[in-house]
Amino acid sequence: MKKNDRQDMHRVKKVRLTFKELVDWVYKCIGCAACQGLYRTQWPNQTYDRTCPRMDQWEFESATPGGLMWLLRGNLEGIVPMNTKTLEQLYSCSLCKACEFQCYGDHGEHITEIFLAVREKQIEQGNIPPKVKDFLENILKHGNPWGEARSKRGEWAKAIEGVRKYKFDDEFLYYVGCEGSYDTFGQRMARNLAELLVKAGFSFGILGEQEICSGNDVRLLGEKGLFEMLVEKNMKTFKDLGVKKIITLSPHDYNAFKNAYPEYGDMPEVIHYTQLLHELIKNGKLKVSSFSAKVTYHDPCFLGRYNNIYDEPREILKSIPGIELIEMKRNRENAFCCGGGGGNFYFGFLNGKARIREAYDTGAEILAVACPSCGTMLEDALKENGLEDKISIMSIPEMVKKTLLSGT
Amino acid sequence: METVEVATTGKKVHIPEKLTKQEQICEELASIVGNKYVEDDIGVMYVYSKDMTELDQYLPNLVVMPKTTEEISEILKLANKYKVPVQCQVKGLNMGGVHALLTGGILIDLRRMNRILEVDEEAEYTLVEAGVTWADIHRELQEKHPNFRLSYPFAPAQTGVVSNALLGGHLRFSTKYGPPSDQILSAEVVLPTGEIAYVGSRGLVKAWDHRQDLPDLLGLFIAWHGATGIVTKAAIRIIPKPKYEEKMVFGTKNVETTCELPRRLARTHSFDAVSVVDWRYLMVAMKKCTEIPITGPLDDIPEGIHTVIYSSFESEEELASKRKIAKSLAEKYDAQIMASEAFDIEFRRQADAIDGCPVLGAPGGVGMCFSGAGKGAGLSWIGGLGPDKHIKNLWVKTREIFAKYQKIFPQLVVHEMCWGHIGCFREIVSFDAGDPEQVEQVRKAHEEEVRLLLDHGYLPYKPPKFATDIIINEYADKGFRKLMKKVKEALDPNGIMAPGRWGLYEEK
Repeated sequence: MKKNDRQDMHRVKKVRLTFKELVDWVYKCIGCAACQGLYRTQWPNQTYDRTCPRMDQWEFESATPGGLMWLLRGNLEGIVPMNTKTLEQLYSCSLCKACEFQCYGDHGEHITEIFLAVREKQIEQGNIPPKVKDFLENILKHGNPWGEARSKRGEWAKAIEGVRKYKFDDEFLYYVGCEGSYDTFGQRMARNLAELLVKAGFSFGILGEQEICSGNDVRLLGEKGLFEMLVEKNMKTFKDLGVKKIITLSPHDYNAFKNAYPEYGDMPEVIHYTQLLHELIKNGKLKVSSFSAKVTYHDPCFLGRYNNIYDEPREILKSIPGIELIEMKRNRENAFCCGGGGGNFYFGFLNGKARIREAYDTGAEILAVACPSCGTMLEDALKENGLEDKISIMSIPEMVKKTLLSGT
Repeated sequence: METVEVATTGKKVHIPEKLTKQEQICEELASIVGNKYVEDDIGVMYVYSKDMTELDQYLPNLVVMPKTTEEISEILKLANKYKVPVQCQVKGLNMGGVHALLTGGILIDLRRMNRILEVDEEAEYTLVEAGVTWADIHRELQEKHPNFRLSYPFAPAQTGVVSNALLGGHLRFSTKYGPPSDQILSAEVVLPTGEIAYVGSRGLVKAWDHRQDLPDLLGLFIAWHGATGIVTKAAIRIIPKPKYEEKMVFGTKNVETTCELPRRLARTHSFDAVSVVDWRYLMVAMKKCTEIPITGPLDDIPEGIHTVIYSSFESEEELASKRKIAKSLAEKYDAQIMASEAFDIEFRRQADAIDGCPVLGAPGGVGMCFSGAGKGAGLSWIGGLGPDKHIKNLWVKTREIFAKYQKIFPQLVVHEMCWGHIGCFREIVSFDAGDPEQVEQVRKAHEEEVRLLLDHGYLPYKPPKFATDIIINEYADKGFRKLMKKVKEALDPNGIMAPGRWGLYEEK
């Protein structure tokens, strides 16, 4: 199968199927294992690498994408109870969509939707793993997954000159998201991007303590009610402030705003920062100077497989003189998930050890990331693998900023 | 054993009673392989019962995942101590149902034994552990030994190399290189009692690379379906990649002549693979594999047959000579050249689709895209190896069998093996496993098909239990049955290994 033949997989589905329709698809899986290895999208030079981060963590058949389909089938037949073990397997899927790109079945494009539908059912029935419950309660009470104070949400920006609250006439709203607001790697990334935006001369603002979670992972954990509440609040904020354009730091937030929010009403234009930086560099509004390094790039699922954004981050890196971009074996639609999607970033069911090893094996000195969640997952894995001295992780904004500084 | 009849699929799911001392067995198994690799949760067990065919599903009591031969040996000793049945799987992917479990007990999942221990280009073999998949070995060869490949199966790339070779059937290049069992040269086995032994040349000398001129004890494990022990390592033949390769496709509308053409082509000893597919197979494969638009529903497509030949050659002269042989035979048997990659690249795509794989000489097929329409995807087949001269009869009579059933339609495939000495005939049926009537029709048709094959001197390959029951109870020679029983009793005195396979130790 040629790569381009699978481009339709990126399309956003306009009509959501009912729970019944979705679970009917469970019976279409014959358990052929095509979902387990890169096959279709690597024609004609298949390397057959693994697709699924769950398979790297556990090795029983139920840890494969098809295995999870059959586990759910057993549950629908009343044979498999939704016990702790089953729930753990259901919730450890990062919904990275890698399996969907390999499946030959007609049900293939619905795999993550099926898992999501079953999660929604569990939430409705109050059958939730404790870690997921804590996560959702924190979002409900505090607007972020860690239960951090709302007042601290904008603290990351304090030291940056030119970053202020959003005003009615601003060109765009810089939506930083939960990781950018509270997580160490995310904050660093948020600051770097903010400095670049200031340098490019934009009039923009942030929401600060007014910002709340976009709910991307809330939705993917199956808490539809809470997600809809977040949608309502966020849309009201955007409307009240007259926001016309949103730049997101996290691909997760980009995905929620771009694909899920429009189901509930009109949204401002949504752009991911990699698209913006690419344009700025291309148009000469940001001038980058030389930075000599071998770099490999990790595709985040919510930019790549979910939104078909593969080229812009690469173009940014390639535009920096001196950077040699080396691809990992699994790249673009075949990229191996860091394990942080679908809520897993917060629970640690999965890790990114295999991915960091793959990045190291390219001979690159730097692993460039476009997503704050991926950055944190991979930085943790870097330490676990003891590779801190061999390869470093840098966000794309950090790399661009570094070249701006070194060039002036 | 509790049996649940699933209304959605019409299939029966058999759930075993808890083993006496199950907790203790789990603990002892954990002390052998580690806690992480022993599981008895019913959800995890259910997934191991998965099966795409019309057969019943059986859940094991517990699954254990060893990493070494020694661990397997210890597991089998433990199973003997507690008299618990043991079955094993690599991926559990056979779409004919030979992998399907027949009882509860311990299931040994071999996928952690996934090391490729050696690739010897000079001696043309690779030594692999039992859990190595075709995907694993293909990647290894592609990256480190690019001048070699294997005779790959039509199965998914994720299936096991060793299990595939042991279970039999046919491979992509079986016309030239013979059946899967011919690809095994030596093996390491753990007997049901836990003893470790070597068979093939490795049993006598420190060499893994042949099995000629010695008591062929490998036969004790080939096609026994795991009833005589567990093969933990095997040396598998690798074959040099040819300098050039080409496919040609011939089309005819006449069953009689096209059942003759492939045999004549194979018997020229010129082509690595000669196979035949019907229109239904071609259309389904093309739709899924190459996405060439198909106009009209399948039922409107007329009966027709395609013969695919695959040649490897080392020089232009050799190619010209092979083309000449193929064309002259095609003319003789009134076949039209439909495609040749040398003439028309677009047809190359058709040829690849027919072959079941987009890439020549690579594992993985599109077989799985044949899964049936309707609510529940079902896929199953019955195939056999036997006298090539009966292919035409099988083709016609198989159509007659399926004509009796209103809801199921077979796709027919023929593969010439061993230069046309043996024919492989196979019907593949896609059905809606969510329609109990279709499931029942497949069951009946397959029972008839098994008898049809046996009546023509064909032996079903990778036969599921209902087929081995027919073979043993209705066709097998008494002396053969007695010998099988003696071998089984000698190797497996407690009858723990795969009870029920070939009707042996069923009562236990």
